[in-house]
Amino acid sequence: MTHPSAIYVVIPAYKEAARLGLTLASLDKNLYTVVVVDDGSPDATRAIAYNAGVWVIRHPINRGQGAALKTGIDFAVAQGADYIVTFDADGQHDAREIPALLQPLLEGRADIVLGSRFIGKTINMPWSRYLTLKLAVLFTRIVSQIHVSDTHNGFRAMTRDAAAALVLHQDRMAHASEILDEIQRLKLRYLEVPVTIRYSQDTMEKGQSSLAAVRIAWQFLIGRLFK
Amino acid sequence: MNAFQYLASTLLFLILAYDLYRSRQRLLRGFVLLRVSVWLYAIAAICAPLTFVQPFATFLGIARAADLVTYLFALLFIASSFYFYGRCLRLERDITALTRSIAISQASHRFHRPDPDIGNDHH
Repeated sequence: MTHPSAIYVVIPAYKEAARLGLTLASLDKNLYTVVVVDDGSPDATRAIAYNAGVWVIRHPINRGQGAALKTGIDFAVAQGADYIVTFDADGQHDAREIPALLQPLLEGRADIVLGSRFIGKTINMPWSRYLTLKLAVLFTRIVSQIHVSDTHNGFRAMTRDAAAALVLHQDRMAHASEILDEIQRLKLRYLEVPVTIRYSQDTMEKGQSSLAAVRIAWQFLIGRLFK
Repeated sequence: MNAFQYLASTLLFLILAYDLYRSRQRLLRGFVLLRVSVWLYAIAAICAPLTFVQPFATFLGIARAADLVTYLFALLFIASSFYFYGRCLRLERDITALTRSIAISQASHRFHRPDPDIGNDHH
């Protein structure tokens, strides 16, 4: 069994002062080394993370969720992480499900484990979001040629080697599709694990609108041209 | 020549003169010569399109010189859009890489690497 501190939980956060405290409280600091990447938030996100006793990395300017995630992953790899879990700051994910994500990695059955709300469960998911995510799955199957049930789920776990090998250029939301592309390119062994995603009024207001999916698809496709 | 030809050729001539003045120290360099040639050809094409554009249009199988100019501009627009989009994207990536490097070098932790800029809340 790996030493607990070698499991890093990377949390990209932007303007999450209202929700980050609860998210960090749900994570056991004795089990995981938590890293919050504050993506240039103008609010108290950084101070809340700092006072929670976790690692805080602050982008001096806002660069997007994908950029923040990559910063956290790079930091975790440089610090000697054996396993890296990516986790949302807004309380949509359930920290009690982290062991289930890590299990296939610890058993050597996968290089990267993807959380799936469609084989797990969702709470209060609007139908428009359901439809958008299903279209995203179809898009990914056509473009990236990878058969997954959930494409834009930020709840994942990966080994150190897989994390170090990922080449991510997408700074904004298209990074989720780019990670799937990278899994295919690098021929990483992947598994999907059921997870729970909880939607609330707060997270829906702050999250991406369903129309933003078009912009994300465009960013992903154009980013592929300029690798 | 019509009024547009007079106006456009005068404007292009002034631009050419300014360009020559700015580049007077390095007139014989390849890129400056190319630029000067483009200005001169543009002036010639506007003043005498039948002499300087129509033969190319006929050679390429396009009936009118005006159509050739339209097609060329359409192609140039697409090419330059991609070029500048690509440059912009690469610049964005460089900014992200720089931001990341600065951020990681300044990583802080309340117990392991305190940040003097943030007041500790012990409650």
